[in-house]
Amino acid sequence: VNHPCPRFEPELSAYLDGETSAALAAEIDEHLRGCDACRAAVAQLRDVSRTLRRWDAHETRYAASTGFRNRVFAKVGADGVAPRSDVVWRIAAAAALVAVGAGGFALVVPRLRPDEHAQYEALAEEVGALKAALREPRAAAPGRASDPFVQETTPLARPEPLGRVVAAPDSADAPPAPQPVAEIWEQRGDERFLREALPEHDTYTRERRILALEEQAQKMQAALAGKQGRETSAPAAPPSPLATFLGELRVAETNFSPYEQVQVWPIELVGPRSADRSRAVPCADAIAQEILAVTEGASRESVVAVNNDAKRSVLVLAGDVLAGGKQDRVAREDVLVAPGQRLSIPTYTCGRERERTSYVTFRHSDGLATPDLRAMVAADQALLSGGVGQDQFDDAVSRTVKALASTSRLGSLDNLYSNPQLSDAAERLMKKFEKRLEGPSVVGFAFAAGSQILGVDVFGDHATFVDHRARVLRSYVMAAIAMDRPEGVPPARSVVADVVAAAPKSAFHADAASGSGTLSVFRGADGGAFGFGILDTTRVVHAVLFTSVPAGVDATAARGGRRNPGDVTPPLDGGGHGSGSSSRGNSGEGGGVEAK
Amino acid sequence: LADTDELLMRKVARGDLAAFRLLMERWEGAAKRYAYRSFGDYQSAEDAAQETFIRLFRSASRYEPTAKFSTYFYTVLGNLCRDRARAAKRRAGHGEQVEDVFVLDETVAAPEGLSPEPRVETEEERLLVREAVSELPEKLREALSLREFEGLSYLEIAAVMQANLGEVKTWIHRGRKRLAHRLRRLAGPEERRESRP
Repeated sequence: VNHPCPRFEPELSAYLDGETSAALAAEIDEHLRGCDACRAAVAQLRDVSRTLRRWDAHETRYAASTGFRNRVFAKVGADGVAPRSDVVWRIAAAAALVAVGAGGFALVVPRLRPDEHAQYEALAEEVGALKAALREPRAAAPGRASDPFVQETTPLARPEPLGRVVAAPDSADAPPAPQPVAEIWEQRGDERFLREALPEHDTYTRERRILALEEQAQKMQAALAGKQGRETSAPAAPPSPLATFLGELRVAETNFSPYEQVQVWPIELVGPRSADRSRAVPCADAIAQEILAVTEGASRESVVAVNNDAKRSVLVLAGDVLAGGKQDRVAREDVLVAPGQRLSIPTYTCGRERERTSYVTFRHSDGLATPDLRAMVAADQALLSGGVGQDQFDDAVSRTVKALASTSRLGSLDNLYSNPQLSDAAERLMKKFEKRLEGPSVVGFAFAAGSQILGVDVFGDHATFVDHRARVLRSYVMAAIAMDRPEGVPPARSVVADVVAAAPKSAFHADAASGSGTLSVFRGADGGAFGFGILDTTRVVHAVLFTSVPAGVDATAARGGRRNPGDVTPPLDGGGHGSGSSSRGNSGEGGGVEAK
Repeated sequence: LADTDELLMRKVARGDLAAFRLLMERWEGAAKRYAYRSFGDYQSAEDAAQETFIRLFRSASRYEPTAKFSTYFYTVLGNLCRDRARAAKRRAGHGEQVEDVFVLDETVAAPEGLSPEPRVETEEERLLVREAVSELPEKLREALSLREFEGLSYLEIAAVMQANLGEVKTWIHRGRKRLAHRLRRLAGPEERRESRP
């Protein structure tokens, strides 16, 4: 066994870190060329460095939380509550007060002017009623008129005039645990948790409850104020902004030849263009940069996402794979998460359940599901049927995974993106096509494998497209690889142009809120093509068109609006794990819900 | 244009709470990660991170923007984590431990060929890394953490750890060598990548 040279060995780490003098670095460079032992030592040190960084990325991904900041503000005696919408904040505060009784945690009560006391008390009462409503599924239905919650709120109904810390004995204040414990499990309800993960779990449970309260409060407000609003969203709408946008798309005049029977056509946006700036951070980047914190939702059918950024919106695409939690998930619709917004995103599970874990955080998002799965999700959510359901989605996932990575029996889509052989194959194809998509007016592309047009993905402007390009393109490329030898030759440009040109003539359905955006769905006149777009007010951020209904989706079923227009935000269920999200209209049991 | 951390800190000194909130938003993750690596449990990490911000807030008026904010931040955080870790150790009845930083030194034996890069894909592998890191002597672990995870330069690390450059260099090098020794088991054939849960 060779040992590295004693003269250089102590300097090798510093050399690796660029922390030696230039002269010494040059000397080591020169030395390494001739010394195998030192070269091996450097390689080993570099491996350690890489391993550590990769491990760290997995190990300690913390999401920033308002709960944390509020606790710090509470301790420094300052009222540092961010200026949220006033009423919503007060409700949250009241809800938090309410929760103190049950959970016991600290929160800063907002400063109240004397004249606000009455208002505050009214609000506390309102939250009491909300909380009672929240308990309804568990409580016997007839007895709900009497409010069982009143006693719990009474001691907290009148806050001090100035900001005051209401702190129940908080486990966060306890001194650090005396020794690192190996694996201690605790029973909570009918689930077991690792003790060290319990605080995280509890925080998220509490936040989820408050979120549910907030959303219910918003719904209540909408119900109070929005009776006339319901009429304005009647079907006889002006031309959809999405239709207008689709009308401004052109397949670029190019003569690229197909590659391995795969063809990609750039799509350009013509006509007046708004300022070209990126509208939204892609989901994967947002999670990696801790802009977006994603945790388990009330049930397997949703996750909770919080945008911690002060300025940027986050775009979650239907088909985005969220890795982590108890089970990996796939987002079921495009959602725009506004700065500071917290909401629930409907999901399917797409992997095996992690046994013996109590993780609630989704730590990364490597990829986007293949277009067939995305079409399935889109068809399901958007307009075609009562939903393919989790079982059918599982089948589709395992088909895709099997086609792409036969060695993997794990079933999670996330594995596709961490499989090195697949990644290499995908990169090779992507390199061929990415160059075509660089023009300043290119906002998306159409993709065909063999004779089949897999889909058309477009973004609101070039900058947004560039941000999402690699991810979206990779998902198509994966699909092409899965087809192995695609059948037939790619269609001519004119065929694709016809498909794109037909899109604005589709039937556009009632819009629905999705995060801070609006989801608009359409179905082609011939019944085959369909798609959806997510809009930021009236500006399209992302739209996708599929040319045919995926196999297995019951296209003959109801095709009404996708959910009740009264549903402003996807509501969360306040119950524990597995209690089911009862309020999602078409999550599997019924048909598309018609507007009332 | 976004305010620099140094400017924010000056605003905090003047009682600007919005600036403090922004500063916390920026550094909360880093604080928790660092603390988690020190204690290995979430609750203590959360506590230490919280206490760090409270100290930053209270000491804002004394902060002189001569050093980078990050240096100041990690100094406060590092001191706090060290104190708490020692207190915990004392409570656990171990007494003060003499650090063996300068005693141990395994020489890295060069393998025959270049080994494949170690993998950290499975829970088991991550556990192994976690154990290896937590078993490092405190100074080695801290210097290496600041380098690998926080990306600080040797000079900044020296400032944070109140040590000289030579010591920092030695700690980082020894830390890496120890881990290389411990983690040799991780280097495995390519197929292991597939076994990620």
